[in-house]
Amino acid sequence: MEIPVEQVEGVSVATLDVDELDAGNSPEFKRDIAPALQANTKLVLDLSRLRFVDSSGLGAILSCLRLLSAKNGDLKLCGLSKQVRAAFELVRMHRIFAITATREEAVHAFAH
Amino acid sequence: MSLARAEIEFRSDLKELRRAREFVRTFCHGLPDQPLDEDRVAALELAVDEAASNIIKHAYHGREDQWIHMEGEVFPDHVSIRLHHLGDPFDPATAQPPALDGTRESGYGAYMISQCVDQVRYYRDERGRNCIALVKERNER
Repeated sequence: MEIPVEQVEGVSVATLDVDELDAGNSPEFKRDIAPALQANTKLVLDLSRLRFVDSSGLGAILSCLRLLSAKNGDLKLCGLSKQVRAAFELVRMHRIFAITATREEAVHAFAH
Repeated sequence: MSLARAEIEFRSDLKELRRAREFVRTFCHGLPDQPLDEDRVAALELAVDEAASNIIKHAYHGREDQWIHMEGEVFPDHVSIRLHHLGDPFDPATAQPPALDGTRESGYGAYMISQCVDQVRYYRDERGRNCIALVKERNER
């Protein structure tokens, strides 16, 4: 799975380049996001292309937060579609993650 | 008596979840008078994904060479999706409550199903197969 990472104002921004994250491709996501989690402590994950996420996908994204938190880092999410946001809310994960509308807001949230 | 009916069979492979979801969307969008709005279709789609995923992971223990038979039916007041399989039965009473504080990365499936649909039933069907039946009530009129 392609997960391009770019630097924006000193913050790493990873883009999830798939439209669905489910039990079928979550293991692949966890494998391919690992280098970005190792190389960074502050990471933004841009989910604006994502149209569907299930509990396995949510668990995989949660594992990223836990890995970064373990080394005093943080993960911020941006660009959630209505359906993806609804899945986060269903299991209260919108309270666990810092979520912004745009990647610019997520990057700026790290600066303040 | 149902107003419309469709069925599909797919392998017990997590890569097939996409097909299961597409079936739900196509079935619901093809119904006369659109009994479910987009939010209801999305919720039913998520419930079916979680149910199929649980069957593959837990009832079939990850075996990819088994089958899941799925039927969609629409009635005057609801849409029903049933997933039949020959794996182990699931007893919802034994399911652990989900950790809604972010301390666990799994164990949300059955909870999400229950939140996404108006009724969920786990039973053995007339042909001896295990079945998960999901019911979504139609839009308020």
